[in-house]
Amino acid sequence: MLKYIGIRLVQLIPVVLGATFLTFLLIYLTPGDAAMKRLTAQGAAIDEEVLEQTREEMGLNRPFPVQYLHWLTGLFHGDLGLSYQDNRPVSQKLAEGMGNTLTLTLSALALAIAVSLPLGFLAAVKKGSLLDHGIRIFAFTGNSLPNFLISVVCMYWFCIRLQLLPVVADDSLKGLLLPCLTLAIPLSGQFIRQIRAEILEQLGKEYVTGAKNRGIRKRFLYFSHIFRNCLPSLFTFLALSAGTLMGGSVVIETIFRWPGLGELAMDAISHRDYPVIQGFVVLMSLIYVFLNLLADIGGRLIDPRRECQVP
Amino acid sequence: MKIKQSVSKKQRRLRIRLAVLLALVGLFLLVGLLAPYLVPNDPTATSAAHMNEAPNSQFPLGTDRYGRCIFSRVLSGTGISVFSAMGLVAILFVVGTALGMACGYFGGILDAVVMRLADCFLSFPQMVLAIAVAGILGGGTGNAMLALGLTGWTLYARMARSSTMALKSEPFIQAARLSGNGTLQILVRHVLPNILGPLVVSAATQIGSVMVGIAGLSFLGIGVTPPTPEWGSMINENRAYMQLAPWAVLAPAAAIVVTVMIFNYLGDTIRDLADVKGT
Repeated sequence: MLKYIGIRLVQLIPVVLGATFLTFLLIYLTPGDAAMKRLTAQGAAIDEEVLEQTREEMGLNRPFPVQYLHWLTGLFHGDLGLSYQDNRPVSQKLAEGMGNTLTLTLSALALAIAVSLPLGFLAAVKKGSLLDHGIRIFAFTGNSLPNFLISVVCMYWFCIRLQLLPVVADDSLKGLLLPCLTLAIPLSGQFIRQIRAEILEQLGKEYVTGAKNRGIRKRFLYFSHIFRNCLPSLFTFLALSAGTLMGGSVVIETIFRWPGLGELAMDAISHRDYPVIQGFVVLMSLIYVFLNLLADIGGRLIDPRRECQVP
Repeated sequence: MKIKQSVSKKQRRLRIRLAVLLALVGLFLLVGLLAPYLVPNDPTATSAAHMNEAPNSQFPLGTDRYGRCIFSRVLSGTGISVFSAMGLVAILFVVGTALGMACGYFGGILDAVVMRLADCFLSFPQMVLAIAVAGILGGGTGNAMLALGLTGWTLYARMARSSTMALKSEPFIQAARLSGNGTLQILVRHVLPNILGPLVVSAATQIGSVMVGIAGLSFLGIGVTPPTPEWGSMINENRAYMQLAPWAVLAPAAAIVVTVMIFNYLGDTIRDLADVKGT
């Protein structure tokens, strides 16, 4: 197992380096002079001397590979440069938003799992029944609704029409409810479909027929055999859904003014604050890659059959 | 015999569903093409006299805060949503498949470089990268499509690569080569038809999500730029006035939901149909 983790970690190195390179390139290739952008963002008066000095400070006069290496070493030391807007360290700004984003995404994830696990299970076990059709329609609809649309409609209904919840989300549980719900609905749609398909696949396998013929109780069969066999795939779904969650949180946080990473990123985009955008993208991709690795390892820990196969 | 019959019955039902959905998609394309001739009012014409008007005979779905006709705007938005989503998927499909086939067939350095590049793009959550790229490029339909496409091609490249690799050593490919066919001819005439099925299924299921992506970017103000009527940006423009003019949000919202559902259902149907044939 340790060997496997080691191999996977080594395999990750080029991917992570490539991702950081692409992120750096993204900002490097934007038209215009970075020193000029920094000064404009700060609203400072621009003359040639100040511009040249800023360029020197930012290291813009050095060749491209040197700039990249400098940025990369900074990244590994947790230094992502300074924000154009207020000259504060990007890492500090990201750290401030991180907690709120984690609260939002994790609660949405928990809600989505709590809803979709039983529903997906029921739909698969009662395949073809009215219940199955109902659950599938719910899943299909949830999967087709864009998250920004759900938020706008929910906001209209709960906050303006019924006046039950605050329009601008605050730290209270009430404030969290709506953003969490709107983030969880499309995710549950996705999960239910995947869980249903996975359990249906297991139900068609020979071990299930065998267990049924041996008279093993249904409850035991479902929870100890089928559920356990589904777990490795569930881990993979979870890791992949992290992408949906991260993208969705940008939209939801912007709509509900939830002070997390997504709102920070959108704010940075509207102010052309490139170091913050860069830091946000790198952080998200590192988390995403890491979660996928964890899902792989988790799947292997649960399924001993897979342990001996090395990719 | 009985089993065979039930399969063909299911297939017949799926075929009917496919025909209905394709007809609906055709209708969307038609509306998208003919929108300039179908609209009752100019979709971008503003009017101070008709601000936030409720649906009436002149404006079937009311007006927004600039007095623009919502019905005309929703109708004109059809083309942008449907054509940009289908166009982007078509481009990704062609580019990804071509790259994947080349990688699978030739292997070597090309394969290593392209596949590592795909790995790198896949290490970003798609929407996060799209938001960042579209945000930096500063909006516009083309930029939004580029931003969504950066990760989208990898799906086809990976699939095409692995199926081409599996096919490469088949006797009929060798026979084709021995009978003097050029590489391009082998790839297009002999490899492509054999790997096309799963790729088409993926493309069909991708259209709906690309549509949601473009609408999402436009909603955030970094996709299709106003005053071009686009459903996502219409919802964003009018959501602040939802109490006064709910129709200005609900009409484009309904349009997105219906369109995305039809395209998603089409994707599911094509997938099921391919599945039935396979078993």
